[in-house]
Amino acid sequence: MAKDRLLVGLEIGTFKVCAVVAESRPDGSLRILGVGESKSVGIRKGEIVDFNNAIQCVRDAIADAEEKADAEIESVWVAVTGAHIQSLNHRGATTIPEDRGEIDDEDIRDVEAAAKEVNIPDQNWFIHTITQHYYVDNQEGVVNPIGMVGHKLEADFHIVHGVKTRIQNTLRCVKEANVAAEEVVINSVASAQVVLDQHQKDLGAIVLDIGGGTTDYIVYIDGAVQHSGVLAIGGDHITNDISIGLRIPIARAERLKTEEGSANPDEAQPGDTIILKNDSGFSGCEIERSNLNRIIYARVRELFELVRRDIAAHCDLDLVRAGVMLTGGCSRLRGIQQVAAEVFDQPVHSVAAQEVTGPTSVFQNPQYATAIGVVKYAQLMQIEEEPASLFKKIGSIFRRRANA
Amino acid sequence: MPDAMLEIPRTLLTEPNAAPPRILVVGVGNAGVSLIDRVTLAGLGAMLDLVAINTDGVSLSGSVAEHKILIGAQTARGLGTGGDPEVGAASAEETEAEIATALEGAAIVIVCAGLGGGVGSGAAPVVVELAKNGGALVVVLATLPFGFEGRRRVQQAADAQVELAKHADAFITFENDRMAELAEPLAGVHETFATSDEILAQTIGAIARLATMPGPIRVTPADLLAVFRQSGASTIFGWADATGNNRAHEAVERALKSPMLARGKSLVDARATLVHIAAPTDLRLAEIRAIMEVVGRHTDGHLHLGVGLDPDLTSLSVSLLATSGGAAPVRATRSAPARHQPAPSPAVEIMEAAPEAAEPEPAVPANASELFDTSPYAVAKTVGAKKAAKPEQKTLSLDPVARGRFEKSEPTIVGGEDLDVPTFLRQKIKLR
Repeated sequence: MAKDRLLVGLEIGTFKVCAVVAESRPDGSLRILGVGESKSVGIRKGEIVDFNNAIQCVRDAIADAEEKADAEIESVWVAVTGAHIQSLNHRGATTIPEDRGEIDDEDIRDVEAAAKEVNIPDQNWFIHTITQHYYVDNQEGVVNPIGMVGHKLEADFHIVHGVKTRIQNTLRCVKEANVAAEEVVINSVASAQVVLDQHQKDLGAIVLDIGGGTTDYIVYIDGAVQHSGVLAIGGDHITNDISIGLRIPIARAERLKTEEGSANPDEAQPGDTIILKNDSGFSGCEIERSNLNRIIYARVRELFELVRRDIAAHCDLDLVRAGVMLTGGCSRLRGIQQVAAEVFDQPVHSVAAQEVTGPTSVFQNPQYATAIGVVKYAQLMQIEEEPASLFKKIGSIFRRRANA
Repeated sequence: MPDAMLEIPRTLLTEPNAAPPRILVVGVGNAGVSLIDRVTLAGLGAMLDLVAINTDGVSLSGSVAEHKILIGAQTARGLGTGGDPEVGAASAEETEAEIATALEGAAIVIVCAGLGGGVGSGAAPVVVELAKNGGALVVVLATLPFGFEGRRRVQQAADAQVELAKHADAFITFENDRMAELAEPLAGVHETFATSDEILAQTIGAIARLATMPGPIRVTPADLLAVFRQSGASTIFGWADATGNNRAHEAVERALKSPMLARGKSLVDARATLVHIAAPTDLRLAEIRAIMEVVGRHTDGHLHLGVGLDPDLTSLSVSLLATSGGAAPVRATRSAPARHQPAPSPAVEIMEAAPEAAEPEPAVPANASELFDTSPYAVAKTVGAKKAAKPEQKTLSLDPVARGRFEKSEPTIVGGEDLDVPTFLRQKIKLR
């Protein structure tokens, strides 16, 4: 059974493809054994645009991870993102048969199926149906209705759906790299697993995972997912803006952003310049620091404003009491916290994965939050499945038969 | 006198002698009648003549249409047809004379029906034939049944489509199955149907406006024919309106996202596209150009432009009518798709730029159907003209938007704004 405990999370990101190998301990903790990564090619805005190159990236990342963790990877859990992913909240209801009265996990499945009777576009797939709250005979705030007595079971769900073919393409890409895909999870759900603790979820929190091509966000209110979304803007856009605004090549703009860039427009003094050395194919130049920061500030501020507007349309921001958590590679940008605080009017923290053990260089880097989150999500799913496994399931089927 | 000086432009603009063509909207069957009611409620009744035709007396008496015709008093005895198209057709033939009288003198007849049932599938083809024989331009607007309504209704609808296409100049269909996708996921049945009715009512309103509105570039029934020309072709329609500074861009983008256009994808195959812009009198030439450029990016077919101005309008609206499929001598002669080529913008034929358009163009016969018959030659000619015109149409490729590395990726558009364009450019932040 020991081998079963090995969990691998794969994120095919716009900037990098990374695979996290972790060991799930019986006490529920998670230890990272190794992280493999490769620079992404053929990924734009979190979606595959060049299939063959993407496969090669996944292969490289997997091979790297196998080497670092000294383990063989057979299957992975995959994080997906992209502007096609949408979400909505919906309630499902089911009636408990008169002769039984006691709610079992079959009813939980029924109520979930009922919630899925919602119109989503034909080409879309359900990715997640996340339970928010249960109601038994209109009694609110039921955490776990199994075993309770009632006539009517209702549940609110947060439903995430996305375009089928695009998810299939991601899965095909994984398959082509000769590993099996277990399940898909969206970036924001994954990141939230390791960025937030239960207390913060209960208080209400926003997680903003700003990656290379997309910004994935999720809102927890009263311990449940209230809203999630994807905005196809990320670090790539900042780089692109710099490249256009300062007329320098993309690669140079990327380096300038990470080394010198700041989202704080007041940081630069007038006349403060940065000298870019000449390079092959680039004849060097001198740029104003204030220009660089102004370009970054405009983009970052707009990004936060768009996300805030979307969240405010779906949730009451006053119920978010633990603040905004920034994660993802782009959250390392200097000054980004102040801009977020300015827009959201909330305490803002830059965070990385927590509650995991392993090499600190890995889990303290917000770049890996999603991939580690995928592993955590996988662990939670396995724990959830286990008690209901085999004997209990069979038992419940027999009981149903007997009752019928 | 200063007053007299002001008069001159106004008379030019309003074209006093141009009597707008009479447009008749005929609702056939229950679905058609209820659609007519919605058109009336939408306030379009003033510029249209509405006729409700049904076998069911109860449904007719509930309608707000000014002119109602109960068909098949003997055949159906004032009741429904029980979903039998033959009863529907027999009913319409029984009352043929009355229907023909009602259709008399109309320049454009828009026939609305829900296909699949008895009256819609049976009587509508008869009405269309009568209208066509009366010399009108006939536009059919039909809804197709839900897939779950059963094979029989779907088959009846398919049969009716074939019948209707024989005589109709334009045939716009709307699949009920797509309704679910158009409405919000959580919308109720009522809202979902309201959305669908609204789209159809908009279509009627836009066609009517397109043909009647005064303006610098008018559209005559003959121009509509030029777009529709071949029967058997399917017609697609998109419409949207917008206000504000960015109205031109917003309206055309939303029109392209219209349910039947599928984000401009259907336009790719379109042989001809009619773009009609209805706007208040402050419409700028730059806005027209912007709209045509956007549409041109989605199609390499022939573009027809119509512009209508009305001081009473508050918003700018863009209607797109396009035909694709059908008999396609055009496709064979067409050069490789031009949408991958960066510079050339499609040839734009401005059909009637003369503001003193009191009379229709001399080339247009009084009876629209005559022109209809000359179609193959005319189509070939326009295509030839387009090909020849292309090299000269080259404009400087001054791409106003810089998207950099996102040039080829799917644009991130939120609230009508292309977010791939650097924020500092869009917000016009000055760099030193």
